Amino acid sequence: MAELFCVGLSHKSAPIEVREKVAVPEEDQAGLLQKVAALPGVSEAMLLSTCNRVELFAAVAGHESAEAVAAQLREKGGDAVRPHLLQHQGEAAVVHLFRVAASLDSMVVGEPQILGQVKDAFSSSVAAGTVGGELTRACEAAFAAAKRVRTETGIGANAVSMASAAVELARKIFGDLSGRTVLVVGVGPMSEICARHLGSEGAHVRVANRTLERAQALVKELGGKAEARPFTDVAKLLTEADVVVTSTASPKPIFNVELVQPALKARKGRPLFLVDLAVPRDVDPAVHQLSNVFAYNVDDLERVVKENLAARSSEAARAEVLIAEEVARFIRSKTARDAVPILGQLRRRADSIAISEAEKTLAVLGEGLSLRQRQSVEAMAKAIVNKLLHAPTARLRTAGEAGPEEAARVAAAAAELFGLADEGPADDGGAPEAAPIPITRAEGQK
Amino acid sequence: MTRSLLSAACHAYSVAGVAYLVHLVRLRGRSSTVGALALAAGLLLHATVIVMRYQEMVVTPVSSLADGLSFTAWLLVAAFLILDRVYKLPALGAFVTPLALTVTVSALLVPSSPPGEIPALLGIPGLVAHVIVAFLGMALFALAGGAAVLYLVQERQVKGKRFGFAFSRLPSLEVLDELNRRLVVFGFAMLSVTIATGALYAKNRWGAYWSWDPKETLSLLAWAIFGALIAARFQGGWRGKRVALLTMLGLVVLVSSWVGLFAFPSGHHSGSFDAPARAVGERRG
Repeated sequence: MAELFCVGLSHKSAPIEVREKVAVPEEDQAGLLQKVAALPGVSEAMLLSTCNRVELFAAVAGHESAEAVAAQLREKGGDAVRPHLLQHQGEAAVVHLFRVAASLDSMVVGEPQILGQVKDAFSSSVAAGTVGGELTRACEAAFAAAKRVRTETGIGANAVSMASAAVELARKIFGDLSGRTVLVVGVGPMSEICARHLGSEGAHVRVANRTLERAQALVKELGGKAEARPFTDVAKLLTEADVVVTSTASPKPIFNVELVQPALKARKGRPLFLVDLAVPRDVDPAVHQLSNVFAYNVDDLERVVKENLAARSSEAARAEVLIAEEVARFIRSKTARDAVPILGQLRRRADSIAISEAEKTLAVLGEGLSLRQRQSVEAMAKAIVNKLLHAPTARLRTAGEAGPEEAARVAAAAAELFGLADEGPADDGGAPEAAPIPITRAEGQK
Repeated sequence: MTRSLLSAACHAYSVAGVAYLVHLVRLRGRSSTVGALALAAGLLLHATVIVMRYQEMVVTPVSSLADGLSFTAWLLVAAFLILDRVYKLPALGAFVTPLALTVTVSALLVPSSPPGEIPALLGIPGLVAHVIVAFLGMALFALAGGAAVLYLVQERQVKGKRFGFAFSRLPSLEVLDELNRRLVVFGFAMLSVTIATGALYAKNRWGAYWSWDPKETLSLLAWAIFGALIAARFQGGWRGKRVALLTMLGLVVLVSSWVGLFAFPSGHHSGSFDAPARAVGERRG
């Protein structure tokens, strides 16, 4: 019975020098996947390769085939990689997949990109033709679990970079930022990131700088509705701006009470949010005391980020509980499915008896029967089989859902009563209840 | 019959209250939907009660203290549900729902007039509008007060640069301020109509527009506070914290004018609900 296996390394187990050794370039991925899926005992394979992790997921028949999969990565990376490789098999591999997709294993816990990366990995494995029922079910369950984590916990709720913290604060003050005006004073790398973030929220960006050329250069990069203004206009621009991002090299504060107070009057009390990225500061701390003015400096933003990270880790604990629930549910349904092969055997045995007995009867009755009469005989044989198998089939299904021990117990009883024990190991290909195998898999085997 | 229906509505409100609190604490999208649905169910049950009472009493839905309380709570819930649809404010639900529940439960506890006994004062047409508009204004100001509380909590966090539990749960300052503006403007309009219709009615009935009974005085004070607040906002550019504080002050005055309705034994309004005949008898009537 195939089970999930995972081997690989991540930012947790290996430094970047090691990770880059096993990184698989995109054009080689399909080849690697097909090679892995062709290994004996291996039926499916998927590769997750991001800047923080390289992980190979596979559906394997047992320990030996798992080792064969692991050997693929070991071979690729050489000796340096060996001590960093982590392996998970069975339930542990499912847990790992679910945690990765839910961003619980990420460098920044709760970052939203990883789910998309796992989805991409899944669809390129589908394209490579190396995905079957096991991985499809596991990935779909992992995506659903990740979505649940995102909606039911606050794991991705808070900003964990200074720029996104600034955007988050701006949203808490103004709500929707589209149509708001952002004034960027002084061009620098941090103010550029902030401007970009705010601009992508739909705000109008204006850039004022001592040298107008640099302001114009930033405006060009930002594109869209951004405009450059001379530095001397700052007092006037202040009356129109909702958010001010400032990062000048000025040794003394530019935005003091004398400058901001009159602007507030002209603003008719609209709130003003000042993001001060400069050291020494551009905004006089007294400005924050004015009503409807909120001034944040680098330290404030840093603290917001730290608090958010702490909040994330407590939300992560809640997410782990959800993941454990989802994994348990997935394992239960897998166990139920795994109990199904005995049903397949039972069904095949019964069908072959029905067919052979019907043939015997038809041979005795001879050629005198009409087509319709022959069909009736066959139908009767099938109907008897179906009626007879109905109760044991239902019982085996409920046993499968009840758990592995119960499933094994009832399956063993069925095997003994129906004399199936000598038929050899189940191959779920012929079982009517076996999981549907996507067409892509069949293509991949060609 | 109406009592058991009203108590069923209370149960629905309780479910909604718990759902909104769960939403506030655990940020679950689904529980705010549960809250809104439970609230809507309660609102329907409650509406049935009001209609049935109206038919029993033949006069107005608010001819006793119990009915008045029940009607106010109903308006509060209805207004909140409308706001929630427009602004998505489940956080406000966690404040409004318990308030509505408390008022409805008090309506259940206060003995209601037996059907058919028509309070003399309210039996007069024309006063119905006065009373309904007064209740509507009250519900709007109660919501404005809720928005003001949320504003103050949120402002405290942004200004103090300390982000507690409520930060991610509450709407933005601008949304709350805008909400306050609309609610106060509509509430003020209702209050103005209430006072004007009241004065006209008093002139008709007692020959004087105004008699400075405690309720009239406090209502006028609340009207002045809200009027000044609106003027300050539109003329003086007042926003945010000051406005929120003033809203709460106005609400406190307005609520005490309502308490005055039942607490002060003299005045036109004293008899509105409980001793109509006496009030009319004692006064110029």
